[in-house]
Amino acid sequence: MSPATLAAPAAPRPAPAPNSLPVARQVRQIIWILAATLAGAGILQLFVPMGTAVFVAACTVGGIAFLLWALLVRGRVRDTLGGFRFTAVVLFVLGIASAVGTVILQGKPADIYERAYGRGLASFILALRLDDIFHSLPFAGLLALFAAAVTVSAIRRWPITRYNTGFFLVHGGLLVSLLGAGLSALFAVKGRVDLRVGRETADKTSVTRNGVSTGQTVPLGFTLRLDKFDVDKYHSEFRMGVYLPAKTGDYALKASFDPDADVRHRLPDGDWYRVKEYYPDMVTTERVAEVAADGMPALQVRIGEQSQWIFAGGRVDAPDGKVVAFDYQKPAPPGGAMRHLLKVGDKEPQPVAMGDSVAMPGGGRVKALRYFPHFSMDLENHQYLNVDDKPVNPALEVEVAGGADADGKRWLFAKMPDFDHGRGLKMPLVYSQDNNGGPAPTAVLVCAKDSTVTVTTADGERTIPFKAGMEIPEAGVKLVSLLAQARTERVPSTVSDKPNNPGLLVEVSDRGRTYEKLLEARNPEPVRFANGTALVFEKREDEVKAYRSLVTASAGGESVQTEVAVNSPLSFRGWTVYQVNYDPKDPSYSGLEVVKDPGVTWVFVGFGLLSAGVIWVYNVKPRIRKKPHPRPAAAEARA
Amino acid sequence: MSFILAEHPFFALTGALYAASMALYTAAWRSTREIIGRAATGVMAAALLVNVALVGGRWAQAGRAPFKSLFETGVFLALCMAAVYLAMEWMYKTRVFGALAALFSAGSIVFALTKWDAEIVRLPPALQSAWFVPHVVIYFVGYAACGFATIVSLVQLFRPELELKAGTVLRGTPISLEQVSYYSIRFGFTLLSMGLLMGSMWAKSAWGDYWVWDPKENWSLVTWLVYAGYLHLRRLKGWRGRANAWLVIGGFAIVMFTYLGMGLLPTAQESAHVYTDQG
Repeated sequence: MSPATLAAPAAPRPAPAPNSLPVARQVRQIIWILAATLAGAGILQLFVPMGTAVFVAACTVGGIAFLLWALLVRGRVRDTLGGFRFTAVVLFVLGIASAVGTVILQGKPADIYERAYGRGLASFILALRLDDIFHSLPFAGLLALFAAAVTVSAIRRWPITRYNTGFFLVHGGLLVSLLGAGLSALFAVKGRVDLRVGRETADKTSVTRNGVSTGQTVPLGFTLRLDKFDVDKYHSEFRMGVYLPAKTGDYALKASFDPDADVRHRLPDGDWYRVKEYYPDMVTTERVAEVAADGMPALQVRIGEQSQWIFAGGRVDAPDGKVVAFDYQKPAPPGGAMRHLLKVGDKEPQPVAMGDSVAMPGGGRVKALRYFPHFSMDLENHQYLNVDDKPVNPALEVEVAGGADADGKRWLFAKMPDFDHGRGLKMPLVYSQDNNGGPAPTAVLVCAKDSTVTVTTADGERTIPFKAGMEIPEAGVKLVSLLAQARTERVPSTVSDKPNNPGLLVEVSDRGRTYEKLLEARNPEPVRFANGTALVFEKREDEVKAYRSLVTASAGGESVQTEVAVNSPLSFRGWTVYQVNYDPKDPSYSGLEVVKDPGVTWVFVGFGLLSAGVIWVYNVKPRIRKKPHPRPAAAEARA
Repeated sequence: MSFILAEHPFFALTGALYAASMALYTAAWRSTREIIGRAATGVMAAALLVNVALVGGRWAQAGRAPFKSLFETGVFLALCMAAVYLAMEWMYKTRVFGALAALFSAGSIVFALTKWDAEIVRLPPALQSAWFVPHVVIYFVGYAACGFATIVSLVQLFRPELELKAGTVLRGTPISLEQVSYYSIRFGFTLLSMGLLMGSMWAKSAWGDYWVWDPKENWSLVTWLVYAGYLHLRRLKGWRGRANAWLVIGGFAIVMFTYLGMGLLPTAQESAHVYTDQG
């Protein structure tokens, strides 16, 4: 459109109605027509059962009645019904009705309205049929008025000329669409066909309305067989997800990034992270590494060919009962061999060996049967087990024979002296251990604080400064190195390029504090920031990309095999077959929907005419009219 | 929000350029120096280009059209408004509406940032359709055209004295604000009609029904009916003034409700059509 057009006032249109009513009277007439239609239809629907057929009949009869009224009663009604003002008002009221249909729940059972709106409002909604507004008679009345208005205005503009082609396309398109919608409402059939690959064929469908089965079945007129069903999924991938706390109290995924190395990603409040290394198929080994702070003293000891680390407070047993003990301070020298002690009642604890018996005061004997350093119980099979040789839960089995407490075998626990399996004994039995069972073994005592080594033997002790790699011949060990601050670290590496177990080494900055963390997709533990942000390295769920059914439709010698997918239906013998369902537990199942709708073509033809008409009226016609008309020479001369 | 801006400099740049062009267009209202107006247009065009790069980049990254979430469509709406505005500026040779158009685009970018959702969501089967791109593009250009008409109507209602200046910035011939608004609605209404048609054809191919009285469908219809009513009323005497300007604004309020407000409706729970907000 050129500025010249804009500058000029719009060309006045010829008024189509020479005997138009004054505006105020026409407005009153419009209000009356609409009010009478809505009220009349509202009252009528109290006596008429609701249904598609009734709705379509009401639209048709109402439309024809309004049209006859306008055509036979010449004059003012025709002017009103065919006028811009009336059409505009009907359009607005239709808009209001469409909006109401989204504000009030539609097509639900009555009790849902009571729950949602309260009894009073619910009965109002149900009485006016606002719960199914698009099938109510007042809505039918509006559509009838609309169709009548469109028809009357078209009649008033007849015949079709160069300038009103667009008008007829738009208004004809509307009528054709309404006709098609009526045919759809009356004759469209929609139903479900559930098939399994290769097993069965369908030649009928169970009819549904609003997704619910009506119990009716309708023959298709052909057979449908499912030859193959595939669910395509998007390829899975591993990503770093950024989660922020959501209002619901949960976390919401806000962004995610490829695990590309060396890209610094900014996070809220100045935090950031950077992937330092990506391991597609990660394995980790542990190693002790020296750190500047937040570590523990560590000592590396070699016994024979084996080298191992111990942290402060730990000890290593060398061959022949020799010991290496390590601590920050100088460790206490270890005692002699371990002894089992049994205390009976108030008597002093007595050392016992397996098979020994101890007399109980007042009669009876306690016999030591067997020793488990790490006692455990198989509760399912009622069996007692020894898990390993470390004294984690030292337990002694004894047998009490004779005397008042004779109750057979029982277990006593060195770390739980008063635990007696709830049996109760008049004479308490307490089991304990000490290390006074012989001479103290040869020991190497390493002190981290002073960096000294004290070797104690039966002959005495000597203290020497620690030296990396020093041999201690008395104990047969080599002290390889001593670290003042150390930590155990997991050292990642990849065993292949396949993403079997992707892992990341990330550098994270949380409020200015920077640290590294190893993340494993198989075990997605979040990196939590002080402000609530969480980073998770995770595998994306396999999302469905497509459901595809290969079906064969056959009838009377004609057979079509094709693929049906969402957005790609099959049309055969008047039916259209849609992919609508699948069962993740049954890969051979495919849920199909079949639709036969004689109105749809007319609806789309109508929509097409409407769109073409709108394009013509508002975008083509103005340009046609703009073309300069050849002016008579006289006019030129006068200008 | 700052981390998003830092992580995605194109967003910052797009928003900043729209804001800068808004400032320049505002300055051009008061200045007789044409260089300011030209600079405003240049910055707006630059913003549009960066916005196109933003949408294009995301399209390439996602491997699909970036029209899935409120975040993605917010960025696209800014682009559509800038494109429609620059076309209108070129057609009507006036920069009077530039400030409000740039404000709208900048606002869309800020809105997108508040709905920040950089996560690329894959398209479910129903959205994998040849209708997806034309349906959304046609609707959003239509929205932008109706938005531009609203801007003009706002000027018509609240700064009617600009009617005289409107044409004078470059050309000196007065133009009718009401007619500019009307022509823009005509263009927008054409696109809304086509969008409605395409949407129903898409629904038919995906779900087997061309119309299911879904809230989004209904409100698209309400929008169409209101603008159709406006176009009819405008043919009547006395309907080319303030009342019709309010109708244009009201129509656009419904457009925005159709775009953003569906989540508020009780019937939206069952809709397959309403944008989801992951935040």
